[in-house]
Amino acid sequence: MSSWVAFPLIAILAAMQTSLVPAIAVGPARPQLLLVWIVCWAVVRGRGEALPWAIFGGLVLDLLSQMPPGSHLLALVVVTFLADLGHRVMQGSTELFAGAAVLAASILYGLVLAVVLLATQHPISLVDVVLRDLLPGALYNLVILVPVFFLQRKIDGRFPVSVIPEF
Amino acid sequence: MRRGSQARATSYFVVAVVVAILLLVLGQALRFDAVRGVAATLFQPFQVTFASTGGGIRDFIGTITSIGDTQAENRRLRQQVADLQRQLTASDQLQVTDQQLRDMLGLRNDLKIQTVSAQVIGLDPEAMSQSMTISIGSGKGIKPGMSVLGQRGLVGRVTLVQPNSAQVRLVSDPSLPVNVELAKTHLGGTLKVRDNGLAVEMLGAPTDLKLDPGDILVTSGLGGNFPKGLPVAEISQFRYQPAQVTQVAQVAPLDDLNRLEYVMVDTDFVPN
Repeated sequence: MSSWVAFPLIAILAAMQTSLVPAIAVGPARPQLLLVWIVCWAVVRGRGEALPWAIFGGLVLDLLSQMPPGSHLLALVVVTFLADLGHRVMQGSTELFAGAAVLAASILYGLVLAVVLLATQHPISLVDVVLRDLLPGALYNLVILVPVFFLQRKIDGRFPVSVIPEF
Repeated sequence: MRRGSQARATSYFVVAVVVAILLLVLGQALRFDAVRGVAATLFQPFQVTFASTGGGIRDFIGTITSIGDTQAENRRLRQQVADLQRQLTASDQLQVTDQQLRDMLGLRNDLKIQTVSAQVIGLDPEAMSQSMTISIGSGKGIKPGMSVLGQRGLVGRVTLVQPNSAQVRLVSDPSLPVNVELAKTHLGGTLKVRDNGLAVEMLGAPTDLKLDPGDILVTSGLGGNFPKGLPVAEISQFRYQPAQVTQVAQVAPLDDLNRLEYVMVDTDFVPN
């Protein structure tokens, strides 16, 4: 996908993450549109394309968040890298792997953020974060993965050659 | 992907991680808040648009799930409850406030604060960081440190201000302890996030301490971060622990902090 489309799309997804997502939250479960989109793209097209999105998306989320700067960037690039790495190592169905990757990435992403908060002297309870925020959020992410994966497969089929292949 | 581009992607990953760590370590020194201010200004139109869309979605879901009630009726009744709650809190305070130190007019003036209303246009991307973005900023006289109120009481504090928006740290954020007191007895404590919820910690509480569900907590004014007398939360659960020096009661915020659509900023009080 052209970076002229990809980067504005990432910015819009980040804006939606902060303003639209609270309206569709179910109890404590809040979907993470940007995370799902980028991890799914890592599964579909590999980190060569997903990593620039993760870097840009992480920086945008850091700008829109009150969390310590750099925390989203770190969490997003780590899970994107691992999602692609796992996809290369495991020989399985892409659909199944996408589900497993998003589930694992959601939890790992939250854990990285939680550890960053703890390391920067923010008084949070890791157990509470996992039970109250991460697990419900990860399940919600699985739900939104379905349309996202379908859409990305369509995009992948329509634009098989990346505009930024040499990243 | 070719081996070369894989290696390049890996090197970009390493660079990104290093940059992230540098930002984490040097973020404050690099004045990242100033960059966040610029970003907030750029993203504000998108956030307003999406927040309005979100309100529509929320109303749609609410209309489906409610039986017989209209949204307008619901809002009207909530407003009535909020008004009565404020009157009740004010009444409780009047009964116990020392008449020699505070006359009734002064207390009423405390409660009649100047406010500016704002739309909530964004929440923090992560639930573990409790903050939100509102649609007004320095252009409307908003300053860092001002108190932010929901329909029934205090919901947070302004931390960062841009010309047309501002970031607000919510009372449910662990990094924002609030000094409070019971409205009916003036017993002081600190509102904190504890055990998966909000709690008030009261050091040196009397042995005959009795708290009932629904008892209102108001800001005590101690520390100078908030004005005195703003309703904050209500007691939801309490059991006296004889062996403890600090008594802890579970409390519930007066407003649903995850469903705020409009808030008011108290422009009368700016902490030093």
